[in-house]
Amino acid sequence: MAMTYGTKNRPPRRERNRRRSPTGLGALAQLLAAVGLFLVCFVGKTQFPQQTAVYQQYLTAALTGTTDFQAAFSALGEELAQGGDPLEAVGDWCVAVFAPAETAVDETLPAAANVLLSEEVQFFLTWDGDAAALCAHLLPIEE
Amino acid sequence: MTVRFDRRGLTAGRVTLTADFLFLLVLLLYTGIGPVLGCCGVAAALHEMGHVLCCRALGVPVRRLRLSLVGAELDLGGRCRSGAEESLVALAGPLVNLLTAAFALAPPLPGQLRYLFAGASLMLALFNLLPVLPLDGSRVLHGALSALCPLDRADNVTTAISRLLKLVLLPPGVWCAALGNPSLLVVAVWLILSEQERNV
Repeated sequence: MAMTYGTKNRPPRRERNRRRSPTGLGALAQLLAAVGLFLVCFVGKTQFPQQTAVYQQYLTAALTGTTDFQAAFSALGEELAQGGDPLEAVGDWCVAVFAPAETAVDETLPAAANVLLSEEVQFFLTWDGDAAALCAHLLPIEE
Repeated sequence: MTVRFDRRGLTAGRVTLTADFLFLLVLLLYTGIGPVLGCCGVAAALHEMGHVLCCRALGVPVRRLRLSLVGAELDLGGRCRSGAEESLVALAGPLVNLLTAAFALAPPLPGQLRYLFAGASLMLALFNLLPVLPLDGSRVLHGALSALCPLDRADNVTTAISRLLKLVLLPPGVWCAALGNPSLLVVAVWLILSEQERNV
């Protein structure tokens, strides 16, 4: 994505980075490890699809968290195609990709339902297992 | 076309693939985020093509394209002759992404994939225009500054602005990661590691 180039009064970059480059043996080991990993993934996906699917889900969740990158990029493109404000569209994309998951609010629910949901989540997160407290909490909801 | 392996990685023609890039590729393919990866890959290829075409138009030779964990990197055998030339070459990549995004959104093109491609192209262009090393925005800034002041000073100011922006990104990145979304932290760490890798 980015580029480098030499500039006046500077030694070529290859000379500046020479000491930092891996040795031939180290680079060969890295390359072999990458090829090995590729083969393991390829064989795993083709021969044991169900078993590898479990690990794939874990890995995908660890990499992307709760962010749906495809939906975020598509929404940005769609908003621009419909003539939306570019700054607002980019802002929405940033929120979708970078905002913490906990701040997300379900806009399909009315505001009162979101408040109730937050209260219930807060209660059960702090509930110490006391049955009487649970009854006292649930009784007003049933009423 | 000759294929060889040396301490830089696997080289075919003028393209070099490092081992860490292959690791990343395997990881992304394995996780199955294919459409996003494909669109970002095409957008990145067009971005680099923009740089290469601009270099050719300006008579700056391109020695090698290196694909590593920190992204794609053009190794220019020659030297840019001026700050304006430096800025032009750096701007060419994002400009191509903006043009392709606009083309993808043109009404006659069918399919939902165009929205994904347009979004990926646009964000790739905007992200690369940040004045943070090693992104194109820092090259544009460096080129503009080197036209106004001595080269060493332009280097220092560009590096200072870049590091300041990375420091600004880091705390919200940690905060968002603590709340369950590591994306911003990953970007901040990637930018910091990229500068160390390239040692600009």
